[in-house]
Amino acid sequence: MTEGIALAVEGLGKRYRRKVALRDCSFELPAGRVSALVGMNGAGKTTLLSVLAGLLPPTEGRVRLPAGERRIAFVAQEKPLYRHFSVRDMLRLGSKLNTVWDQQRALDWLARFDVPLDRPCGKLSGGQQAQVSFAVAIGSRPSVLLLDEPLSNLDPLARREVVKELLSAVVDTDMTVLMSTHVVAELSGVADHLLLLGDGELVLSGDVDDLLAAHRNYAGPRSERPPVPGEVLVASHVGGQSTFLMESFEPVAAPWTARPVTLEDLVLARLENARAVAA
Amino acid sequence: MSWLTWRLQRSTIIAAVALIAVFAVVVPNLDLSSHLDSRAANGLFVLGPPAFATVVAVFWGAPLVAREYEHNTYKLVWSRDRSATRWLAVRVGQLLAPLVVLTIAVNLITRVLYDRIVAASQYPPSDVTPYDLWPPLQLTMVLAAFGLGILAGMVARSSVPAMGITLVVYAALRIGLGMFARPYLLPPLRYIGEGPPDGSMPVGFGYLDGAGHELSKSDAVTQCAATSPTGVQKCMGSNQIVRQYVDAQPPDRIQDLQLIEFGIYAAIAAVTLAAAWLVLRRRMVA
Repeated sequence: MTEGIALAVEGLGKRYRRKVALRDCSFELPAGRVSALVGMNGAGKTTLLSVLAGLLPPTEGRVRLPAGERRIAFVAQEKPLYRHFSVRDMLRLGSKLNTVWDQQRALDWLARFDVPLDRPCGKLSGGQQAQVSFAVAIGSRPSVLLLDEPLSNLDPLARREVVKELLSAVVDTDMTVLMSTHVVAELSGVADHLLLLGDGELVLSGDVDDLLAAHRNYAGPRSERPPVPGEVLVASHVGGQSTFLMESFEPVAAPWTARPVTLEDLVLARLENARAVAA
Repeated sequence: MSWLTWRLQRSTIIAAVALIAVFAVVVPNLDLSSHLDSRAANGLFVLGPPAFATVVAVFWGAPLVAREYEHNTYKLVWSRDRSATRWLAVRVGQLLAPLVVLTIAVNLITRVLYDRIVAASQYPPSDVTPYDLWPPLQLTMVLAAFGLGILAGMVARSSVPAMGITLVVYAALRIGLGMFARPYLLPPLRYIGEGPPDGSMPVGFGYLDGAGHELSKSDAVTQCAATSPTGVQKCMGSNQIVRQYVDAQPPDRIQDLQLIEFGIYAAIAAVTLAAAWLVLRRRMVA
């Protein structure tokens, strides 16, 4: 396995009795970075994370981790905790269940978010419960941290704080993070690597900067054909004007103009395309 | 027992200890000369140990895995670092010691109760026998209950249905095996003309004709009436025309029967625990 890869997936598939949840997924996670797993609801994000976490056996394919110290922590979407355990008990549980445990890191995380240590988890707010889940995961000093919709039950302020703390943890510990979300707007400034899942299939994967650089929005006079060669993701014709979102970075002559795409545009275009192909 | 097992199970363990403590306080304080108390004593003797085993099945076994699924905490405690099967093996292993200790406590208290009932009456009720009190049998009855509960929890993945399934299946097992199958675990011996020895386990009785064929009671009466119309009653009791028989398990076989029943419960305990482990492994590993 090559240097700088935290986790590699080859031909991963998961079939439930009737439904195919994942189909032939292959990708690599760059080490020490934050990758985003994006897809609509039901695209297979949770299935993929559960397989990576070892909670669900894949029907085909495999997950490879580099040799040496390799440990995965998973924070499930429900942020499960033992409701009758105090927060302190949850940290003790973390210390018992992990071969490596950093109590100070976990305590620091909880202190950062003002989570009382002696309260039973069932009596904490949803946001505080999420913080306890994060603290237990961070305290186990994983090499790969899998987060399923980590920001979903946090208020906007807490979201920003959690993201900031996560990023500093990534820098401090060389941890690799894969977080899923269906809210593309959550990603800006967080993830620098993207995995896009559409209906169980990997639609797109790569570094966000590379992906953005490889796509352009072209606008110009109404035309059925795009101004440059390349794959057209979205074409729209309004009044006398046509726009094409394309996988292309060719320059274009007037009257056409080329604009960079936003991550949100790109993700939505790719997902819509994948859906159109499937239909 | 580790801190984690204790922390996860302490309410159920404390509840079981409290129940047994109540049992231990009640038994020496029953006044067996009073009719009401001696009926209560018989009831406690017959139902106490099975009730304990049922509590173990329903409240210790069934929620053990089901609760983790129900609250999604399995996603927290089972993952690559700590395999699910190991988690199950550790929880079961660590609960065995308290189970054995509590079962022995129940056994000792029930023995005290048995001695008190026997001492208080010349003819103790027929359902008051020390059969179930053989410690290995009583222990495997509890372990089978525990295993059954865990397997039900593994299949149902939700506490309340798992507890319901466990209750029904375990009750059916105890009633079926204890009340119906037990006398037939070995083919009973037939005593004709004489009664079975004292201390036998009765199985059944009936009538035979001269050739040794079993007769229904009405056939026996008809035959007696045909031969000796005046003294049907006398004929039936005399063994001249129709003979009475008693099927029973003699006292020297009781231990063999206990051993067979011990084997059945031990097999159920082993099979249910192994099945739960295998189901979990299949679920987690392709």
